Amino acid sequence: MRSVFLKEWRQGRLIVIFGLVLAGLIPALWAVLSTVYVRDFRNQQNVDLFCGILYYIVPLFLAVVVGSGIFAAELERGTLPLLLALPFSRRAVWLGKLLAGLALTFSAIVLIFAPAVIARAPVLEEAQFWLLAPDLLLWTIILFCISFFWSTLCASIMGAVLATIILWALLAIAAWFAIGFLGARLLGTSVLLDAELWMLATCPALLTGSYVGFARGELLQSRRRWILPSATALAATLVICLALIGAIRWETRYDRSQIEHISWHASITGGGSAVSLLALAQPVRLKRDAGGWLGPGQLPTHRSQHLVLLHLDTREELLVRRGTGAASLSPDGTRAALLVKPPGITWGSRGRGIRRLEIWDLSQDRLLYRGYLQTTAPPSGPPGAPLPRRSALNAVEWSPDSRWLTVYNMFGDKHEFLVMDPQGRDLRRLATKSLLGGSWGWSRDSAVYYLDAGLRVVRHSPVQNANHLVCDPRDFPEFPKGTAPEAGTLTVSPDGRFLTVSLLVRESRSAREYRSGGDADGDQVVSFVLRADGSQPQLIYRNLLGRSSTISNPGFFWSPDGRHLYFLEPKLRNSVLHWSAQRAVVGRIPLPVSLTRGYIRLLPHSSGLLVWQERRAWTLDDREQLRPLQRDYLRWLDISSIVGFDAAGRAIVPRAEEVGHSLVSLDLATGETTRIYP
Amino acid sequence: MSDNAYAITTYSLSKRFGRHKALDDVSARVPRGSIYGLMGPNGAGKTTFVRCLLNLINPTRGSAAVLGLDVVRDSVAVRQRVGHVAALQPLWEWMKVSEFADFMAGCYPRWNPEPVSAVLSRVGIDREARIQTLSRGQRALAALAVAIGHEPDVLLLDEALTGLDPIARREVLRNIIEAMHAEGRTVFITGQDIADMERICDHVGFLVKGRLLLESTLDELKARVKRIRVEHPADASPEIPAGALQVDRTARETIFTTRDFSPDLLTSLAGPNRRLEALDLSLEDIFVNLAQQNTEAAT
Repeated sequence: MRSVFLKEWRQGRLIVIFGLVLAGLIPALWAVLSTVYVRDFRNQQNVDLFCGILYYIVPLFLAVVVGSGIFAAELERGTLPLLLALPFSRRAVWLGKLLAGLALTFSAIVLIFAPAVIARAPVLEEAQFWLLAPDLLLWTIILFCISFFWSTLCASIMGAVLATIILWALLAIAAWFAIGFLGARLLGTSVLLDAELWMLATCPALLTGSYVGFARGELLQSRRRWILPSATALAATLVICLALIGAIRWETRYDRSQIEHISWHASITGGGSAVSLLALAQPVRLKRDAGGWLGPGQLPTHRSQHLVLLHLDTREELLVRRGTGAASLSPDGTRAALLVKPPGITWGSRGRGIRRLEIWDLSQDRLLYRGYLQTTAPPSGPPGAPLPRRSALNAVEWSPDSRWLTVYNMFGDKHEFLVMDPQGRDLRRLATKSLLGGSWGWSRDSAVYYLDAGLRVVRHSPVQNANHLVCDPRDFPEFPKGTAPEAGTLTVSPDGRFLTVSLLVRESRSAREYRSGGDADGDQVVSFVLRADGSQPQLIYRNLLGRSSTISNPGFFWSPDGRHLYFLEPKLRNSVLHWSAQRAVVGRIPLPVSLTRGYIRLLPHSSGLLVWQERRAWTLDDREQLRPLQRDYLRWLDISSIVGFDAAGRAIVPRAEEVGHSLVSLDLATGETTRIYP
Repeated sequence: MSDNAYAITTYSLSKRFGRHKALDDVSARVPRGSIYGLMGPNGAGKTTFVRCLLNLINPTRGSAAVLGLDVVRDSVAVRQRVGHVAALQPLWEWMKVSEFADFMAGCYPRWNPEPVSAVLSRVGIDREARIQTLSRGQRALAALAVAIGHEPDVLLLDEALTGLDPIARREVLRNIIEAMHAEGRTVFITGQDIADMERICDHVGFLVKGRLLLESTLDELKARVKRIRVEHPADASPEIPAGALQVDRTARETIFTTRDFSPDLLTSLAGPNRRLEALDLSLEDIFVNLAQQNTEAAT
């Protein structure tokens, strides 16, 4: 076997050399493309994605080529009888070739990735490579086994390659079938079976079939030799699949998390992330994606894969290794709520968006709660106990006293709004509707205001577990006649004295019946500001939809003192509307440009507003004076990426450098920057 | 002779590919130390026979033993003691000749590089040459040279002389086959070049359409198979014995071939006014006679 192994190794060493070439070629390609796009973050992302796909596809390609050539090449060249006449058993020859093929494939892969491992590239520290590695390993094994199987039966390498592609496609379809049909209908469960797992289960059967075909000694009779191994592979596949489905059904009943394996989606994004390995080619360390930096009060997501808690003294701490979605830091800074995307089971659209809630005690580095939210009853049992319904959590927010959380949850077309304690013991479903929107806000006394299913304003006190109806917007004098609200949003001013309620209202029979005798005003968006007790509602914005089907709710910005409310006119985006608590009137401040690609942003510790669009900016004070801002930093600053403001009022913002991004603090007045990280 | 006296024995060895019988009840015995030539027309089953001996394919029925070892059960042990060269055997072209020899050396428990080097140098093959640069004949010679490196007790040459020029052929016959014979090893050759077979073989077998028609030493075969010519009066033709081959009759002359010649046969054919003559046949004549008889019997 050793001789066969060494001979195969020598015969296939070109593959290894090919891997070595790629190890240099892909980084070079990345470096060239990055140099072109270094200033443009979005293009850099495309470069990363492109090179990441190369990193992902090339090993699979190598696996197919190596596997297909193992026996088919010998048959094609006529050297198989010479090999078989050597004093080795069939098992030894088969095993020697199998091991050599695997060694060649994985050597090439190791060579491709080795430079970054040796250089301890940042991506390894962030464990993104190890996110990719298992998935890559699985797919490499699967494709190698398929091609190895066909190599035993086909008399040409190209035949084996084509047969591999066809069988792979059939297995993928079969995996989809098993997920979609067997999983959902026959087994009575909607669990998404991991296609990789399913396909991996066929590998032993394929190898068995390959060995049977080889050991029978009929290799030279090409017409018949495929029958028995193929039948063996098919039978073994069926048996394994049935066992697998049974096992998964069992696992599903007791611990769903055990079967959640690495997902296709994670693989692709992980492949893109692996491009960070290319730091080897650059003198500057590749830094994190600027889209996911930390902000005070909010934890970052980093390419939906990692969550890193970054303290402003540059100390960083890896909190969650992978699969992180949105996150929220409690106001007292002791706990973090994370929406973790579980790895695996994302084959097809039905698996996307699934989130698991994790709540961490940062001071003690302890997991307080982990699990899927129960939507019909409070969860029982230990934290993390799997619950039957999948959730697509997409927002979580802490109360000001850090004792409660609000969770916005979706499953199917159903949306719900919940309040829970950090241990997950006390969970309350406050509202359920097909569409709720971001319709809640915490007051300073840690009561939550929300719009219920009837879009009435309700105040919930978590401590007392009591609901109090604040008001029904339909009773407001300026509520459009002959209409009924369909969806809405709600905000609470920082001082808790005022609320904004913005509603999409539509003309309807029920609305006419509700307000009898009135004329319908038609579909429109209306926004009110009112006191927290529901009194003194004032219409501050109305947008008649007419024939337009576009629904644009204004985004409200409260000044820190709660006295000023700003919002960009959502339709034309050519003016800022300003409501003052003192004057109780809405002023319109025309902008010099229409902010088609711009933003507004509140400045800290004042009632000022920053208006920005493509290297131009203006400041707006509470006297409605708009002044142009002329600073050098406007050449690189995108205010939408401002993470937050530190205690001195300096903006914390990512800044593009030659490679990657760093985090800097920026004095908006002077333009002085100080690098925070790295 | 006991079974130990035979290097190769087969018992009712049969191999069927679908409906086609490649080997049909072949019971052959190859004495140790002999040079055995297995002859037969194209498609007779010679290569299938050799592949069965090496267990490259499994026999459908029957059994075979090489050096007393069952070819299926003890296939690895058999291949350790057998050298094998096939007709125009493709080699791994990316290897150098020396690498090929080294690879083969690593495959066998014992290896003697001297005869390999001797043959290679005698036929003028550069050890550092890549196999892909060698001519077809040179590749066959290289394969032959390497096949004797593990000093096999039995050398199977499956039409291995095909493609060799007369000089190389003579080199192989003289320096490889005769040398092995001198050392008491067994050489089993298949092929259609009967002149070569006649020159070197001491045992021969005729395989036609999967059946072994005849197996014997060459001398015995020539002594047994004779062409008999009888001159006789026009009205007194002799009675031809059963089993006679290729019978030609004219008014005053009858010629036939017999597989069982003996002086008694001539005595039985003798008569008044008859003139008898027993003619020696070449191996080629014998082969053609046997092959034709089998073809006629089949039709």
